[in-house]
Amino acid sequence: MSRYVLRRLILLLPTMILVTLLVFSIIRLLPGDIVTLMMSEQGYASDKAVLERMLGLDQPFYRQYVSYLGKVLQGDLGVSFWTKEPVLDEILRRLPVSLELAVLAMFFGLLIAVPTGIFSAVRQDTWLDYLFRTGAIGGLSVPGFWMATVVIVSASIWWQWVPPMRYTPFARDPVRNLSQLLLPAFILGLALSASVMRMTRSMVLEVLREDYVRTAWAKGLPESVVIARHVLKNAMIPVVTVMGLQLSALLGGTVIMESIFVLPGMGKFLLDAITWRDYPVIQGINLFLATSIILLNLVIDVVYGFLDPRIRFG
Amino acid sequence: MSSKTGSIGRVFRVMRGKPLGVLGGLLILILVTTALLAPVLAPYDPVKMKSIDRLQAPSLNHPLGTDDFGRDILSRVIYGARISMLLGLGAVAISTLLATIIGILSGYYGGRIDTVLQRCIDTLMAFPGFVVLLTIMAMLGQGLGSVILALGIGGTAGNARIIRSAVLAIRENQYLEVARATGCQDWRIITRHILPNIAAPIMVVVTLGLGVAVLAESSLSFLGFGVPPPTPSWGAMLSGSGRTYMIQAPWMAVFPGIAISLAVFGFNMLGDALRDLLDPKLRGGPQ
Amino acid sequence: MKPSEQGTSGALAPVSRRRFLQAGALAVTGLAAVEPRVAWAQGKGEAKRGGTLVVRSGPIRGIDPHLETWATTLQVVHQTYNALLKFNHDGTKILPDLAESWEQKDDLTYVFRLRQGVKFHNVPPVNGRELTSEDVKYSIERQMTNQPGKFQHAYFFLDKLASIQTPDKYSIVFKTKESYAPFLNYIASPWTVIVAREVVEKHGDLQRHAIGTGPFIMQEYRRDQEAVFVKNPNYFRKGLPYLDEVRLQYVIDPVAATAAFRGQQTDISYVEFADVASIKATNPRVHVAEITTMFPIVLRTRPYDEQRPLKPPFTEKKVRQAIQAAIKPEEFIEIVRSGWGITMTGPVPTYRKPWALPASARPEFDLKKAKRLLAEAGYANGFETELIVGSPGDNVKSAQVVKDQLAKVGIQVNLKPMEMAQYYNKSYSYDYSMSVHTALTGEEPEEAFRPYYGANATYYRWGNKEIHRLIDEQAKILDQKRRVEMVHLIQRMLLDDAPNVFLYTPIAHYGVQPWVKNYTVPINAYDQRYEEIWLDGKKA
Repeated sequence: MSRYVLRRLILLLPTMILVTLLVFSIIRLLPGDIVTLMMSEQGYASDKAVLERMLGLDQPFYRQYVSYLGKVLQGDLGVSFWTKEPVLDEILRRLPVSLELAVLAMFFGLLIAVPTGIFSAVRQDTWLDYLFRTGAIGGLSVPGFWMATVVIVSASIWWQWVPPMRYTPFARDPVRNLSQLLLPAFILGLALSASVMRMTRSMVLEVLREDYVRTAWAKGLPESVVIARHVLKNAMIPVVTVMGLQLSALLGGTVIMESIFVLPGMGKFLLDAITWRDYPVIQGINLFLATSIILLNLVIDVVYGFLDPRIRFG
Repeated sequence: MSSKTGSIGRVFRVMRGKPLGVLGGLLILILVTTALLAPVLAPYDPVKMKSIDRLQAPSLNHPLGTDDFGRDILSRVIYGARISMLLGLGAVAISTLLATIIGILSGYYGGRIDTVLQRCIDTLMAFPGFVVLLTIMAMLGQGLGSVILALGIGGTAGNARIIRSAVLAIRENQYLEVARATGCQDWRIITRHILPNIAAPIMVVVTLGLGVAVLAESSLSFLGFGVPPPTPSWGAMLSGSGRTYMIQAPWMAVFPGIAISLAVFGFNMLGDALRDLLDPKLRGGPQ
Repeated sequence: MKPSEQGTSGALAPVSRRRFLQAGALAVTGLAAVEPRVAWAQGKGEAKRGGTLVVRSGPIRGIDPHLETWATTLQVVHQTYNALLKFNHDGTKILPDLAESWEQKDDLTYVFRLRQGVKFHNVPPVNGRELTSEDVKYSIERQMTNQPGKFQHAYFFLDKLASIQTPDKYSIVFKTKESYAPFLNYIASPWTVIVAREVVEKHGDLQRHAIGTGPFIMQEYRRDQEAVFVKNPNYFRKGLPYLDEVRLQYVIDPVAATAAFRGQQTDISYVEFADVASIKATNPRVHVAEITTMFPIVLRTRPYDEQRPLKPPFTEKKVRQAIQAAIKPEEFIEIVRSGWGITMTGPVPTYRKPWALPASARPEFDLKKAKRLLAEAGYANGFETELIVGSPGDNVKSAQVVKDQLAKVGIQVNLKPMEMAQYYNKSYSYDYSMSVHTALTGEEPEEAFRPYYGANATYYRWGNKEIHRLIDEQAKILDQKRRVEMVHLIQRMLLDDAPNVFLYTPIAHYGVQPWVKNYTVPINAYDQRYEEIWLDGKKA
């Protein structure tokens, strides 16, 4: 087992290098480079070469890349071209917001998906099953920004209330913090719950067919006990795995909710950086996200291995 | 297991067992028909503007109302079906093609090729999907083609994984061993034995991918990266003027919104049903 | 010109018709009064101290007043800095700010007397020291900078001043090289604020720090979220400000922003015209001010100068004039703004009297003439061209209207919306066939044409040397009557040359909650001074 982990960790390195290389190259392929952009608002035309030198963009590609890689290994992600703030600091400042949103979204997702999934499986092919499955898919068929819009606008008209548009950290004022985050988290969770519910349902169905469960039925144990004690534990493993994978998608995919609910998270930060060709920020965020996700996947695979003794790592 | 045509009776039995899938299938049928017959069905030119007729509520003349340019919304929704289908099919075609190639190469040949390709896939999957979309859109500029390409590339990595596991599952099949032992050429084995057997997961991937594409397009539109006007895409209608005039002229957003929801719903229901039918070949996630 | 027919149902139709007819009628009769719309918010009652004012802000790129050009920067600048002079609410009068008096001694000399005892904010590195004439000299010279990679309004004074002298602590003497008519307007410009040398030397620039003499002290600044200011207890206007705190909140999504206003989370906010009716319905006591903005929308054709010659078909003046004749500005106002806009007679917005051309000078909408001109230029069958526009935004809608209108004379316009960054790039490399652009104007009339069509223009390039010469000349004419004549001549030449078609000037809406007292929404909508506001009746 530890050999597997070690091997995965070693394989991590080339992946990481590929990631940084990919990010570094791609953003330089974006049309409308930053030098022209920064110069474009000037009162008088001036020296492009001087600006390039200032931003360190006059070096050949490989040299820029190597120097960047060197700094990264020391934990320095550079400073933003536009704000001169260290990228890592800015990321860490925004990370808690995205993380809290993602975690709350997963919570809601699970809250909705697991009970409905179990129910659906246990009452397979009844109208309740169809109802839940329809509802689950329905929740993911309506674009999130639309749901958010309708809710916010209606609330503002009927009750003259909107969620607070100013972010307060949870530690400072939990009530305010939650009242801002609950709605977007719920909407994200709704979209999430569809796939998790289906997964839960199919896992439960599979487990229900297992022999040891049949034995429990035969023994006359009440349904709820059977479910709680036997089914859940085993069905949950892949579900938890999928949720972990969803976390990765969530971390980058919260741009829209962040825009609407005025949350200073990573999604919006990245979008702005792309729009303004803030290379160090784009690189930094991508690197950060990619690393987190790769590590996360590794952890999930290991945990999954632990939980399910049937899995063999070869 | 080769192809699955059965007698009509069997088809009906299958359909009866999966009512939700049938519902989904019907919705998709309506969608495809609308897309194909758009010029016939639409009462007006979807891009012709007429300022006199701005912001009209649904009426006999304009059953779904008009938008802020005076364009007929029913016609725009109908043509929007075409755009959605184009988008979805284009994106899915690209991602499925790439994913299939990668998945087969990886799964069938294994070894070094597999490792290298897996590294690449892992690299791509390390980026949250939306990040990939935004970056590609920024590179390509706006346009229907760019959106299709972006969605296609964005969906490749995940699908490649799925197809690879499906190929792996078949690879160990004894009957393939026999084929190889008797000296069958690789590409023959691939086309005659592997492809038909992964047709099932491919079908599921395609169906679900279509739903994802339609939804992703609306999100991209919201952020300003969608299909540029005056092309009538549902996403643009919902996220653009539809939102601005939400209170004053709700019909501008409600109808494209319903269209998106029904389409995504349909694709997902159908995909779900297909997946259930073809279970246990495919379940996604770690094996 | 007749106002076109309005059909239609829809809740706002009567209002938009009225708005539209008003603009149309005024244009027809040539009334001088296409007044800038400014509104008095409620101002009765006694001043009350305390409270936090929350204002919706737009995206901010940087807050250095000498290096930025975005109007949202001014929202921040105006809390923390002062200039020598300032404009009143509708930009028609110059008032003293840091200067208590000024005098134009002769054609080339201006003398200013500073107020005594004005203190900078009591924060490091200035620590509340007194403002002197040296600070003024430093600030003006800084604004004239020409450093690479920075943005600026250097054209105000660069190469125009012979010297800046500071004979004593409280006087400054400016000498211009030649007579320079815009001088006082530029001194009073919201961009020409006075900053402290120590702050610049400590931080390199002022993009992230704002320490000046203004009514509020910056406490927190997060560029993409909010800026928070607290009351300056040592403000030179005794007794002001009334407020304890000002918060500029950046809400990017317009729907969410309007909802925030309805939900009483913002006190002053730009609101979309489509929401005005519902805002008033939700709370009838809210005041919604209508402002004719200073940012006209312009349809541009290919720029040119010595390095970049014109390309066909825009080489033909008749083609450009044909485009001008084929455009019907009223339709833009109707479709894009639901009637909330006014037409234009040239680069100077119509409300800037007497600098704007009279309504009679407006190019006529005449499709037959357009077709005839095209035929005479050799394009009887029209031609195909590309139009770039920044997305998202209203200009994308205007671009669609352009396409539709020009199609009627056989010109096929291919729309190319692009993200803002890309769009600016192309704009400032002066390499495009057509574009829809939001222009800037200011209190000083030449701001509407010198940076666009002048010899050293940067926002646009037009190589007509005669126009260059006239633009240079008009700045030297101190006699207003003669200068107005030349400014009119320049505009008429521009209408004849037709590099651009001036589509419309939007009318914007600002919502003000009923508890915000003593506030006038100014015409330069981002020039927002809150030092005289007090709150009465705001819930905590």
